[in-house]
Amino acid sequence: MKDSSREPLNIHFQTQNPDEKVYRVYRKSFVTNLDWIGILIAGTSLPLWAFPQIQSLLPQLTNNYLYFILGFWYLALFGFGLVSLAKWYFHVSLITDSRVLDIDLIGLLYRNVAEAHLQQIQDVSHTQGGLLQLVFNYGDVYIQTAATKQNIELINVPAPGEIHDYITDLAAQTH
Amino acid sequence: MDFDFNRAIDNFKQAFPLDDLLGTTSKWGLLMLAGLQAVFALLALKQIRLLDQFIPTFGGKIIETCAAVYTVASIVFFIGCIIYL
Repeated sequence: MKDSSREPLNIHFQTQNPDEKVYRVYRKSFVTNLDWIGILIAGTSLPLWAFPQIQSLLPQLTNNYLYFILGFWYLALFGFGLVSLAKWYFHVSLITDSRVLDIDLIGLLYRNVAEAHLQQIQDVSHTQGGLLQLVFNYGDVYIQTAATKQNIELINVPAPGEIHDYITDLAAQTH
Repeated sequence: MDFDFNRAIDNFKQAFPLDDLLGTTSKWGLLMLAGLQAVFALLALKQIRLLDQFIPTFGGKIIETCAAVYTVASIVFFIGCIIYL
């Protein structure tokens, strides 16, 4: 992702055209994962504190129930971490030699794929604000196309200014 | 009028006796939770496989393998709950 060259990457996707080359792949900045990683760490250590409390408050609970609660808790945490990781990893934006693709994974059951051909791009802008975005240099890039077409938003991508510049250069070459 | 906290707790315990709650009623509730988690794991595996097919990468394969492990563990857990609870 740090590579600023225009060499094609060795990445392929399902709807890729035969001669189409992928130049860039962007994901959300890794910093955006810190919230769910924090929840995961806190959740992993929670039973160490909570279990003695539960046992003293509810002495009627048999071992089977306690093992169930413990097993369910850690499985649920694993599932939460896995889905959060997948949401970050598969939420990608691709820039090829002919178009920009944005694949959004919202929750587990909803996926949205939007694309804009470079010739259709009319305007590119980016925003960067807030303490975290300034410190870790990430932000949003907005790609505006013809009015009837869907606009594309690259949310929380690293170095938005550089991406903005890259897309406008590519679009200018195709116009 | 003063609120008697201890009496309120005693009334609550009489209304919802824990021993009964940990009996048959809660057993079905816990089994349902385990079953729901197994269904969730299956859905997660299906979605991750579809996404990995869209953009096949090595990282995607690792996440898919983790999802498969999670699914198997959830189903084994559900079966274990049926047997032991």
